[in-house]
Amino acid sequence: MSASYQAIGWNRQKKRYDWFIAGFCALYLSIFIVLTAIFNSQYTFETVLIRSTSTLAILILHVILCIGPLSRLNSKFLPLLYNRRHLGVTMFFLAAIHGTFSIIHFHALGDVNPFVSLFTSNTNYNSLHGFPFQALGFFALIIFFLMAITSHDFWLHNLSPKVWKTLHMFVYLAYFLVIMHVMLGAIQYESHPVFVIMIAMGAITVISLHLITGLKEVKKDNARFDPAKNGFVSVCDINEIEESRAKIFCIDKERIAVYRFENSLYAIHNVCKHQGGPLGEGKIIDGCITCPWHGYQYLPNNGQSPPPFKEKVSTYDVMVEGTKVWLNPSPFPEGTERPGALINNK
Amino acid sequence: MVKQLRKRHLQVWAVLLLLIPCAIIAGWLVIPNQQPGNLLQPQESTALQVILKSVQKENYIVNLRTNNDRSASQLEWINKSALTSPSALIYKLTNTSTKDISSNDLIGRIDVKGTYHFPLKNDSAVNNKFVLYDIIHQQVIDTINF
Amino acid sequence: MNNEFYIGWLPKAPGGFAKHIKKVLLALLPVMIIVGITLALLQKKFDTGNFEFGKLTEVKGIYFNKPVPMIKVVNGKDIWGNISYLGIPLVGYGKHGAEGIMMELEKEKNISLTQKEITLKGTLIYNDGKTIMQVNEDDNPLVHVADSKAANELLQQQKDLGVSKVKGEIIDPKCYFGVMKPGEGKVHRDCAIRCILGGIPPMMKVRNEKGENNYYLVVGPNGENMNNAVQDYVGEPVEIEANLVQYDDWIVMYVKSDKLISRISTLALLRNETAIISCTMGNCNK
Repeated sequence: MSASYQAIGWNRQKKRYDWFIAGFCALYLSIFIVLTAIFNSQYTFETVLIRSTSTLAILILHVILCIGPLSRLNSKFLPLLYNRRHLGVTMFFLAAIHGTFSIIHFHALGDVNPFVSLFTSNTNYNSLHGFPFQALGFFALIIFFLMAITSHDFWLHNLSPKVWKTLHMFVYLAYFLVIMHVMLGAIQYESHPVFVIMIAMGAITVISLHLITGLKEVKKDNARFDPAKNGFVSVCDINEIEESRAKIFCIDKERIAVYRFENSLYAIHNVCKHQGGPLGEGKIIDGCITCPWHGYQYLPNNGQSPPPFKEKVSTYDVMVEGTKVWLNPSPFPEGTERPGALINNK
Repeated sequence: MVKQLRKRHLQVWAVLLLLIPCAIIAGWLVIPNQQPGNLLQPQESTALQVILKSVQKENYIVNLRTNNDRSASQLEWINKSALTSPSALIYKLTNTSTKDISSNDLIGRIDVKGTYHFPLKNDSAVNNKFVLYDIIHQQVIDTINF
Repeated sequence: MNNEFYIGWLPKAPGGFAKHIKKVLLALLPVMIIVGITLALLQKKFDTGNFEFGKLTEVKGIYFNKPVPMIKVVNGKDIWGNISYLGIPLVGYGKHGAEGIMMELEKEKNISLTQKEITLKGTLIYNDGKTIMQVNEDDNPLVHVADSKAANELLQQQKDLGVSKVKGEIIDPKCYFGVMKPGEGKVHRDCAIRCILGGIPPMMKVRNEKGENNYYLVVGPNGENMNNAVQDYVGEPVEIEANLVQYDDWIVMYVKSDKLISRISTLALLRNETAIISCTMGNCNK
């Protein structure tokens, strides 16, 4: 998190992340190009460049799409989530090389502008097997481009998190377009079944992970509580919440995190102001609730980020009676100071 | 993730769960099936019955054929792989120099990959040297010694 | 709960997280290698075509502009007295045909080049016994023109092969014979269309069960240009009914205007199967 914007706040973890990405990319491209050169020696450089960058980009896209659900299923994947945008930008660069070379290779030096040619050479939009698959790839690339250029937090704040997130949700449309681009393009020519099998396996993996994660989340959302008494809902026993950690409760589909800190309980809205991370899965470090995704921090008593940072989340009233914890799900305005609930005899 | 975003994810994945398998299956079903056709080149020809001599090369097989009573002879050319030169003419060498290739006997031209039969004159072709010559680049591609 | 907590902006990740990520990366590595090896090795084999990019070759022969711009090299007489020919269709620079540049050369010299023996300088493209030549005005392609027309015996010998239904794929010869790999199929379709619409003569590639190919020039019923008419049918299995005529070493398909080009598909979803083409004023359209 930063009070002012730097291009990239390099730290050791980011550097290692990026070195690994670079290493993996270099290794994949070398393997593909060298093996093609040896075993398919009549290749042309343009074709092998177009194919190596595109297949690597699709592989990276699948990894990117798996990181989200994997991090929900096992928090140990969080280091991959933290700098996922680096993977996204890398994927875009590879896809851009593929797209640029393809447009030049297949559409330049003709009698019309290459971009006009892209949409007007093959006009069989009413056919599946004749479909102009290159147009699908083009639109996917546009989405990846918009995502890549807005990947810095500067855009997150200036577009507003809601607009930014809506834009970045288009990755799913882009994924579908990429699958269609491959199925109606390369697969129509490459006769070996392994290509379809790989695309299918990739899709099955991504879809399954999202479904499994989604079902788990739906279960949490559907947790039932006894009816409220004077606005308070009985949520759990005090022993269920560890020191400096929280438990999350979903009441009326909104999630609230109840933290235990220094003999008191505090309740804040579960959603981090940065990118919607689950604050209740974080930890109190140096007196601050710390988001597990990107480390954004909030004070437990008022939901405000420590100065000079300005983010604020809603706070809630919480009560302890004996060993029972009661929570009032009506939120106070963001940043409102609320006294913690004293835990007696603990 | 806020409630609305979770709902949006659910909607998106419900749609993708349907669309992605349909896209993969439909794309697989419409993979074109190229049907074989009959070729007109090289022209159909009949091989003479007896193979007198045979030369096996990496990209082609060349046979000297004759009929049962040795009254006719033929050069049979079978391509194993497509030609990779702009032209390929078969000459029977009548002199040792290929500098002026046209002074040698032109037997025929190899065009597309296939099997060719070139009738030869019955003048002891058995010990002759043949060359495969590229008239465009003016160079010998290969020599065939029986 | 494990008391380790990951904070991305700290220099180091806690031990448990670091260990897990190492395991994940170690697992990803073989996946990535296997994907790379599999995809690289199982690509369809590229064809043998050759594009002599950057190299100019002079070719002497007789020029014809029908059925397509072509220079016909006379190899001489064989042992039976038959003249052997090598027909080299001409194409222009990039995704263009040669008609434009040949007309420019004729205008420049103020003569018709048809049936004259000329020496052209261009870039060769060849595969599987067929050769194409790219002529580019920047290369000063016309080296020499003979004063008079070539002798009648050297002109194109025609042989009627009759009407036939031919199954194959429409290709653009420039890409197919060496400039692009692959120069056929769906992946190359857009480029082939661009080339054909730019004037490169469409050809029909026919393949038999042994994997041997033939290549026929595709023109209209009276030799008209078919470039626009075939636009929707390039790069996929089609069947064309045409009158086939052999001109020495090239076979030309004269597509009948009242007959059909039809698609051969395993499953043609949402698509019209056939097209009727009409030809007027030297051009055929769908």
